[in-house]
Amino acid sequence: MTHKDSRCYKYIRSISLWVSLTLACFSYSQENDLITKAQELVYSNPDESLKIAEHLLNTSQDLEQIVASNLLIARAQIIKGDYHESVIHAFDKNNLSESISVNIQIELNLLKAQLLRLIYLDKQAQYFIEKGEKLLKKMPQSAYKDLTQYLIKLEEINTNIERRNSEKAITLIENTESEFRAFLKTNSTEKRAILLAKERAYNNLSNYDSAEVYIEKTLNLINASQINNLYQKALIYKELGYLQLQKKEFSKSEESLFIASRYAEIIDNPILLMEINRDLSINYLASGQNIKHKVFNDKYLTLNTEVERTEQLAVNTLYTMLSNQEEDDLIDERQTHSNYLYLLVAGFIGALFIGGYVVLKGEARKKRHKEIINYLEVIRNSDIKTKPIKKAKPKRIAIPEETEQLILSKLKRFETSKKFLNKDISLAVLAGQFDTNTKYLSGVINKHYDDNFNTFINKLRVNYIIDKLKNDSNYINYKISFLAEESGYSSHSSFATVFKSIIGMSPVTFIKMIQKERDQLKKKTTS
Amino acid sequence: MKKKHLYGFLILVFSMPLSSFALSFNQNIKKIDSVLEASRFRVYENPNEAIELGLSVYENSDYTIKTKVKALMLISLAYTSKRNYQKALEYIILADELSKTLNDKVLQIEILFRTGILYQQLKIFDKSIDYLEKTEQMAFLYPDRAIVSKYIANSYTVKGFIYKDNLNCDIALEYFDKGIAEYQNVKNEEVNTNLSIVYYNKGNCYTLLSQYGNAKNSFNRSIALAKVVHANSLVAFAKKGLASVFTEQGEYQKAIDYLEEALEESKEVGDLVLNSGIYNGLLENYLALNQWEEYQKYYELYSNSQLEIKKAERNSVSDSLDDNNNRKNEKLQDLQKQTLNRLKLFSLFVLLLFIGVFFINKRNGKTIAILKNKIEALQNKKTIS
Repeated sequence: MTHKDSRCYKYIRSISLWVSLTLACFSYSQENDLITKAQELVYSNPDESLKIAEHLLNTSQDLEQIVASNLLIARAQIIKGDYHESVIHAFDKNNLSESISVNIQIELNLLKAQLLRLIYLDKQAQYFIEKGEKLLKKMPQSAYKDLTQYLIKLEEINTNIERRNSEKAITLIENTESEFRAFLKTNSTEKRAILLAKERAYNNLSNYDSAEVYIEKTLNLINASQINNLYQKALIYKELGYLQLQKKEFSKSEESLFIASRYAEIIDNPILLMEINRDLSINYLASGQNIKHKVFNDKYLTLNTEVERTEQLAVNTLYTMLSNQEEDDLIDERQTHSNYLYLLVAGFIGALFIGGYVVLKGEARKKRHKEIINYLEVIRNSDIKTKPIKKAKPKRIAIPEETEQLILSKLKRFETSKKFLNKDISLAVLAGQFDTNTKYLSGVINKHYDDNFNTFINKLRVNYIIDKLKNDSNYINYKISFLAEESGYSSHSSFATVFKSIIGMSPVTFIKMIQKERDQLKKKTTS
Repeated sequence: MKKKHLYGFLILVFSMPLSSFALSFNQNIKKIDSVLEASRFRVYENPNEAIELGLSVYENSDYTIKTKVKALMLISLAYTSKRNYQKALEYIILADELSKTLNDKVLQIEILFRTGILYQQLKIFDKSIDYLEKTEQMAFLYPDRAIVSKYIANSYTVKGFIYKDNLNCDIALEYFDKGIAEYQNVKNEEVNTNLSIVYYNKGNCYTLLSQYGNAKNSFNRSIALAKVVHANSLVAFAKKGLASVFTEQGEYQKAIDYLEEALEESKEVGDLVLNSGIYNGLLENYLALNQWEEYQKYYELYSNSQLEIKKAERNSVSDSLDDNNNRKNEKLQDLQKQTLNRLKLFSLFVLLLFIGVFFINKRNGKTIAILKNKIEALQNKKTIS
């Protein structure tokens, strides 16, 4: 039964997994479809494109989608001439992630460059162009790479045109045309862009005949195009109207500018409208229609105020965003570096531990060896006489020779007796027993044993216990407290202390060593 | 007919004489105050230094609240010169809060006025007007009107600019008139400069409203006042304005004459905005007279000057961004250097540690070997015995 159950669960689990996967794929592809659709609409219906992109931005969880939506919004806002909104989306923090696909990263950099060029921040624009080029270099050769390289060139050309370096722009255009000849044959949209650029350059140079040739070519291309690029149409008709104005074809110019104005109104681009109205007002001034001139000049002024304000806002916002991003970067970097510091500190502590461990281990081995030597010495020599040097004591009281000998012999007897195990033994008591005074007794002990009374007694006691441990196998199994009691100490700790000070190791270690040696002996004898 | 006016630069100029005005009023200038003062004049050259100085004063508890308020104002001014109006606003608001504990009304009035200007720069006009109105209210309550009149008049003028910016010339004119009336209370030669600017803007408003007689009067007043203070650029601006009235009235040749005069006056000034405006006037008038060659010449000049203006306007932003980037890179390099040094120090310590351990261990090994020998000797002794 349980077996069947678990199999059932497995089925359900795998089915639900598949269902959710297909659903995810479906919704993903649906989102991708939306993005493609929005991309198509950017130039013909930027508002619709914006709606889609904003919807995706609000609903999508996927970073790639979010960035793609940001890119789309930024592009649509450029078409609509709202550089402020465009800046907000182009320089969004999410766009900085390096996990986004390279294509989008390159497109973002290009868009940023374009946007910065439009708000006259050329140095910064150049920076993003270079960034884009760097990314592009890593890509394998493909149609996409060709297109992007071409777009970068076009950006450079447009910068030169707008900064009125017309000669340089024309040289660049000619170079680009020959470099991308094959590419331009198959891509009419891109070809149109470069033709328009050429027209603008000649226009700037007041070479209106050449300009007219290129604007005609551009017009033919845009009319043949499948995509309804209103932005480009507005631009082209504006250029045409301006050209006609220069040729004093006032009514033709008016007509072209009105067409341009229609397109600009549909995409709602105040910058284009402003420029068109400016040209219209000049047209009316030149053709002596003063009232119309004033009307369109006022329109131009109103739009100019709006455009300047948006542009200033865009610059201010950009400045704040870039400054904040730099501050954030710095904070992140500080965090990383302080993490490095923690790592180093941890490494240092680790090294200290290892070093300490090695040294301590060496010390421990040394100590063990010393203990063994001590033990061996204690065991081999029946007596502990670890004080071979007799120092001449400066203070020594004179004791009559006879008394000294008498006390000494009494001491010898005392050593062989077990009276030193008595807990109550003291200098005074012993002096009483020896019928002498404490001074004499202490003096004799000092002179002949080079010890004070306490050490003298302690050594006798420890000697006694060691003797017992060596010779009586039972003693090894006794507790330390028993040994302490046996040797006349009231506590186990004072015994241990005394033992260690005399033998150089604790009684426990000493007993262990005896045991070890005995075990080894046993092994030897059995083998 | 791009009407870019001079209040942009005027606003920057405003903060300076005003605050020095306020400062000379307060005689108890301490040493740090004079340092802050000196720094204020260099704010435009080195804003970062000014910000650092201001912050160090603000964070130091030894200084009085008044000094701290001035430090905050300095930081705000420095950010203004860096065009980071958001930050400038943050610090001026901080100064505003801190100054409430002081009983220095003039200082508070100045802070309110500067907050208003910052909001104007940020194009948040309703907030700007709020603060300008607060400035005026507070100034009205101040017992000595002579001291605060300048603030009131300036506040009216900025309000006029805001309304004019939003093409509400009717309201703008009211504020310009109120400003002019208030400037009469200020006994100062420099006030003529401000008055000339106000009359010039009035003239522009009248032109927009097609009140050409009033417009001409205003521009003529502006010219007269500018001549008093020998301000050639202002004379040129006003003449350009006068020309625009003649253009509107269809007297193109007269307009051209005035514009040529203005061009002559502006030669020494080198003001891009002014030149651009004059070129614009010339190209329009020549166009109206159907003199195409002249028109094209001035169209070219106008287009180039427009580009120059944009470039000049963006340069400070661009440089500031560049500067930020460089500072960031410097700081990053410092961090890397610091970490590298730490790594070196760490490696050295670890190396020394291991060398130390190695030698200790070696010595221990020797001692142990000796001890082992000794043990063997002792054990052998036993076996012998």
